Amino acid sequence: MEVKAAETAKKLDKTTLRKSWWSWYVGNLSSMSFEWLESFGFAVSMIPVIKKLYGGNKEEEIKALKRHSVFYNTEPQLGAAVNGIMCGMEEERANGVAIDDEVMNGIKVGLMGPLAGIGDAMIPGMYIPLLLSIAIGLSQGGSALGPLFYIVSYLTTITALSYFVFFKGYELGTKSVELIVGEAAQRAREAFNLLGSIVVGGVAASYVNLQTALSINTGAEKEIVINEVLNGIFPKVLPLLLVIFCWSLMAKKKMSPIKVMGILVLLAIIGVALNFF
Amino acid sequence: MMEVSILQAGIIAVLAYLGSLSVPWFLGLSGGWYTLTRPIVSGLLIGLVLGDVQTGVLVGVAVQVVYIALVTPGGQMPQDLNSAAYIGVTLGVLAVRAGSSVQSAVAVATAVGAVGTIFHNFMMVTNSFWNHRAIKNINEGDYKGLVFNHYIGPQAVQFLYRFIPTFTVVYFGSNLATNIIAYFPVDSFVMRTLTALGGMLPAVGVAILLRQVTKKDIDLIQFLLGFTLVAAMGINMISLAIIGSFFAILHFRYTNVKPVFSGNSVEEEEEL
Repeated sequence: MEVKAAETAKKLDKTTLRKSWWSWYVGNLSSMSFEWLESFGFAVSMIPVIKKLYGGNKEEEIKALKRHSVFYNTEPQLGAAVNGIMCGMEEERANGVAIDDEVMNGIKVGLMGPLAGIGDAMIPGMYIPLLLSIAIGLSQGGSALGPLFYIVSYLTTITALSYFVFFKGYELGTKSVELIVGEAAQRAREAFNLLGSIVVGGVAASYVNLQTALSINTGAEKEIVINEVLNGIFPKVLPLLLVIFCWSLMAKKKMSPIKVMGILVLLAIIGVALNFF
Repeated sequence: MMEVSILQAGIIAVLAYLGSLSVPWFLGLSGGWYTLTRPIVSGLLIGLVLGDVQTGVLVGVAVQVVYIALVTPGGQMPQDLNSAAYIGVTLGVLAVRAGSSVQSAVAVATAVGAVGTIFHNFMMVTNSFWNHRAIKNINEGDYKGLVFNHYIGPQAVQFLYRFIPTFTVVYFGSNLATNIIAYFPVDSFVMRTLTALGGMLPAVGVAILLRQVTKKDIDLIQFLLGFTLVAAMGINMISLAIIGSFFAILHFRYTNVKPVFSGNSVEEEEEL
């Protein structure tokens, strides 16, 4: 595009950047292990960039590969922003700006934690449950509409998000992180949290099942069915209490979900043995 | 009773592999782990393969609620969703076809998910072998070797970790499910317990999400609103999502998270 500076300045073209993003997007965890997690996913995604900027200079190529294969772990979809930032920094470095390995590594390590925290809370912690809740609602009676809705809505939006933050990272550098942690972003996350909690309330009302088979025999009159009495006080009060019980075990007693499941196993066995359920 | 052919078991096992964590071939993490391995999606696919979409989706959705907000930070896997989604949901579909309740299928799938973590942890350990070869490639500047040791080697092993157990259980699952139903009729103690448990387990999935989204106890009121609208007023999920969106938009427009002082006000405006 810009012919004037092309002879001296090295520039990453859109194709190279796209290749790098795609490599990260599909391959970030391909060789994951407890020791290395996303290290080589990052290194491999930098190959197109390294070849473009340092191609022919084997020493520089190896140095760049080493630079990008140190321990790395973040939420990969949102974390694509860091890949974009690194592409931008490599481009500056190749053009003679003095950026040493420690500066780049410092930025990677400094961003990977916060982005992992925000990314996990946002994507599997909130956005996916929200889409799933709607999909569950659309699946009533075993309809394929629900799963199809989830597949299409999740894949289109998440791919677009990852691509967008990658290129924002490349264009704006570390300033792009403001898009993810800034004030408007925080308000948007809170708004999504609100929507998510309302919608999951509906999921709980439809899918948590708990009723008691107890009844009181009053002699001549027809027996009083406890479950009907309880539902007369508040519909589905037993499932509601069960959710609050599980929540308080996790939020107040800091129990792990697996332990809570274990408690439910005991509850089910005792409840059925006593003919309570 | 529903028969599972070698071809059907093979397709389900390949889908399980494609959906497992680390597999790049179907849009990586987003298309595999976060799409194919969601039980609501695996339920549809298993239903298509076995020729009963309706049962597949019903079981998939019921299992999905248990795992609605599963987060797996840093490759830590408290429950192996992939085993629950493919081995568990297939067994669930076969059991439901053989006459047991959808709730008991949920209990079975969740148990499978707890056992399945072993496959994930195997992969996380054995991949170190390929990582050490990759480090050698990097020191030599060997791109081809690096790509091989990042994609091909680890994925060949991962294929075996996922294909073999899924294929085996799914192929023999039909007999397994029928035998279990024969031993434990629907009104037996075991089946009644499984049905009760399967009805209760979704509460854990919902509670995990609640723990993540409620900062103060009073925030539970949001959840209660959704619960009440559906339990007491019987509105459907789309209507609930619209009502929820209304509140979410109000929150976004009229809340100040923290006062914004001068400095980067220009950037702030760009975001809006």
